[in-house]
Amino acid sequence: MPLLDQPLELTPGAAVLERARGGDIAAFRELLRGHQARVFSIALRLTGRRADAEELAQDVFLKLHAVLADIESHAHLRHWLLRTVTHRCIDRLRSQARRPQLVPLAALAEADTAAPESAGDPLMGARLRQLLLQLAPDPRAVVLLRFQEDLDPAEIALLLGMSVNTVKSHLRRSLHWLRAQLPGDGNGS
Amino acid sequence: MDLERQLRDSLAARDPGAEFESAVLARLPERGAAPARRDRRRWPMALAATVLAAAFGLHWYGVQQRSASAHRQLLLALQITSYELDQVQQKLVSNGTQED
Repeated sequence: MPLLDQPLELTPGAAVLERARGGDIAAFRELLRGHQARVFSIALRLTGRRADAEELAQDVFLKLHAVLADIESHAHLRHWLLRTVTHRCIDRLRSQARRPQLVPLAALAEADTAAPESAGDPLMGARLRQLLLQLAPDPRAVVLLRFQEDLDPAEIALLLGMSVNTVKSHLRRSLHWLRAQLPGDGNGS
Repeated sequence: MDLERQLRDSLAARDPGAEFESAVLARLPERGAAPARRDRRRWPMALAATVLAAAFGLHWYGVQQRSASAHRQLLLALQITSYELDQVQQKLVSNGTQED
């Protein structure tokens, strides 16, 4: 049915959002279920630690509950969640970077964050996720938003407060570096 | 090798598990009550109040200025009147002296 011919009713997603804004806890739970995998995965793959990711993702949803009245649509909700979790994780990574830590090996071991139903070569997937954790926070976030969330560079630029050219540059350099690290590409480790 | 496809495959979103949902819900400040919608008229009302206060201030300043000006004019008029009366008095005194 063409959009203009449809009755003026709220879509299911919009109706859930509206109910959640009205204080309906079941509707908020539905929003939580719909977005928790996305938010948690971003946090897990940015921080590399499950405990940090759970804490950050929970904080994001608590913040969401506090600002639900300002969320105007489902698209706004998704944008808000991605922006908030990404910025919080980057802030966390930067603050950790200022304090010397003995982390990487433990983090890499812990951060094999594949979805159980992931497609493709599991070994290659695990290697890519480990390599991702070696990127600096900004390019790591760019790669995650591009390939986990399938956002285009303009959307990523808007989320991260960067220029589109910076996003493209992070993507180009990160992909080049990742290729160089993988076996079979001449420079692989 | 299609690196981009492999990245997409390996970065599929992963569910945090059932405990995550209950942990979030347990941490909500007040179960079942989302915070009240913020009053979107707050800023326009603050702006209107500021404009009103500024207009009142300007009006009050004008009144004060006009009052001060009237006060100065009154003082000047009194000074002139006093001077004129003084002149008249001096003439009267001088005429009285001549008649004596």
